Amino acid sequence: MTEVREKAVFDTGQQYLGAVYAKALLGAAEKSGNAESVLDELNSFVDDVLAKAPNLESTLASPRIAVEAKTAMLDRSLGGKVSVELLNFLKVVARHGRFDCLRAIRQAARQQLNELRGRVEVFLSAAQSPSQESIELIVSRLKALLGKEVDLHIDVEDALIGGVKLRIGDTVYDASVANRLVRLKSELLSKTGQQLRDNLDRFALAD
Amino acid sequence: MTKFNADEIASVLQAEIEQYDSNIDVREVGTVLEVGDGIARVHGLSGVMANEMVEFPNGTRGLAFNLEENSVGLIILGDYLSIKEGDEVRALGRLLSVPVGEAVIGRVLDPLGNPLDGKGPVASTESRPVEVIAAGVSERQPVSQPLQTGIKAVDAMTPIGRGQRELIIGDRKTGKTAVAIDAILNQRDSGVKCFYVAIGQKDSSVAGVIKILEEQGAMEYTTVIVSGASSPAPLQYVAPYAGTAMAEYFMWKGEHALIVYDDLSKQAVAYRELSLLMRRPPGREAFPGDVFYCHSRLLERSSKLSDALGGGSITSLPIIETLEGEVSAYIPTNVISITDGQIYLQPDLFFAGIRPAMNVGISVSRVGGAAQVKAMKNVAGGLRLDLAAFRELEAFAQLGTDLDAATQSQLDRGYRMVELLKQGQYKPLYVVDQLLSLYAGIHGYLDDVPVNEVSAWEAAFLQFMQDQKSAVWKMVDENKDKGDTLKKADDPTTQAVVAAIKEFKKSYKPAD
Repeated sequence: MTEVREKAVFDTGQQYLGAVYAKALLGAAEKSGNAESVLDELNSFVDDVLAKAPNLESTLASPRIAVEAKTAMLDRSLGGKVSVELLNFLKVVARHGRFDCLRAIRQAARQQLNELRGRVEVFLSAAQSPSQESIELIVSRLKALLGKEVDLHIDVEDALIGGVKLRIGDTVYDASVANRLVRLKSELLSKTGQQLRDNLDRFALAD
Repeated sequence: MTKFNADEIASVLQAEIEQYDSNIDVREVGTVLEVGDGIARVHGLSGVMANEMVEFPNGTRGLAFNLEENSVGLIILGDYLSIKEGDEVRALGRLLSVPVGEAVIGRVLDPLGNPLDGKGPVASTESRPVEVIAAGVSERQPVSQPLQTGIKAVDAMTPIGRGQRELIIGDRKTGKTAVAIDAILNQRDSGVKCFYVAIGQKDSSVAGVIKILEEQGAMEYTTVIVSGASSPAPLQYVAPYAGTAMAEYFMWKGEHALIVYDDLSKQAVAYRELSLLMRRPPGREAFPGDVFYCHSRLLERSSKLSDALGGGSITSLPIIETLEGEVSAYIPTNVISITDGQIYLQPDLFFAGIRPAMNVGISVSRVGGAAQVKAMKNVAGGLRLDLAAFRELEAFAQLGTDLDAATQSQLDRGYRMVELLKQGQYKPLYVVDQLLSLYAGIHGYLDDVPVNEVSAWEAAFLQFMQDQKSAVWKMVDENKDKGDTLKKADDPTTQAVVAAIKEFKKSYKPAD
């Protein structure tokens, strides 16, 4: 019997737990000095293994499977192939029955590592995928402006029509054509409406 | 019908487009996690502040209500049905504010200041934040000016001063709104701006109130703020604050305002709904712990400003509906303790035909006495106690025992005073008329008038004073603020009034 789980993107409880586990993972990995590679392994485990074998994920997350069986499963499948830190960490996660939070852990770990390294995550949306030169230009400008390393994620959104939209943390810098059109519309409506109200005679046709 | 010149409109549009300067739009955003019942939980918005305004993609505004570790709880001021999970919410960096000024007078508005009366947009250039901290102690002065409600029973026994908070409390259908509406109607010549805030009321009753205000010419100085029973709870919750913000504009200008909150029990219920949805811990009667603060910070904004600040005032008449006369419930006790007195309306009095159905024994005004018209104080100073004594005697007399002459005469006087204090709805009386009829009643000039003819006698007497004794009427009007008017028998005003009453009694023939 397979258990199908909804991908919980905005589960604040999971986010909270994820932050706690991520801190522990990074702490252990930093001690051995290979935080980046452990995180890469975790990314690959989630994207390449779990994404392709959803049954494995639900098995590991299921409370019906004994902890020993899960640990043995992890040992058999990952032993020797991943770093000790990640394997141990996955076992701890399995033992605590928190495998459902793995994606939240990954996200939190990425954020925490960025913070640790003084990097800023920037999400760039553009109507067309930008050329390599413009990406380099954007990154160098952002570095100069923010005074930090930039971790740039690019997303193509047709709905923007033109221009770009940057999101840094919770702040959005929107220079897209779509947004300018929306603002132009509301401004025209309010200003023209005001002029109409102020001086109706001007717009009336003489009979 | 006017036809529009499309070319002219096009030229204006073109000019606007040419001038349109598009800067980069910088905004702080969050993502809707869940939405429903007038609230939303949002992920992100990490820099949002408590009570900051936010905007949803459909243009609906919201307020940051709960700031939690991983999410922000918003209350949605408007249509929440078209907001979806995953929508982007943007912080506006402003507090909720409403249009204020002369332009709101005579309008029917929703709690955000949007017109509901079909008379076009509110042509106001100014706005004020809905939530402000009330004036502090150094900015105030004690209540000193009267606010005449035009209701004999109220002006004589529980006088209200400008800047006072006088609670109107009673069961359903006891005439609470009627008292407040009469007070508004009586402000026609006083220059006091009136605000009627309807919270959680049936839209039909609000329409009735607006119709009365229009018919009686009161909409010329009144604003009605409506958040009816079908409005979402967040709008009902902010309605009284919005109304107060509009009234404060006049107070800070040195003018006077009267605001009626009809009613605060429904606002408390709306606030309870929001708080429970936001998972704030429930307390007594499931109200949140800060429901007292919700009302105290609202009513604290009614004040009388010091002369240095212009001496403006907001007088408030909050209304609370009790269930089966239960004044010891949570919200009634809270509001009783916040306000400067209460007018208690009782159903048994109401159905006995005593309208306004005010129970004089437990109705009080804690500060209004200082503001009462001097002459009224002289005439009606002992009325409340006399009536209370009469109520006791009346209960005793029902035992059927023989009464001595003095007791009998006290009873007779009491019956006539009760009759005299009855007053028709939407018929506020000018203070001089109140003085004259109360003087006649209290000094025994009605003792020989049959009880059922008292009101006819009063009407004829007031007519007589205005038609034939206008000199005396004017004399009382001029001297009503002097300390000795109608106090002692040798006062010239008193002598003139007594002479007029005697003359009227000689000529008065009861109609058959």
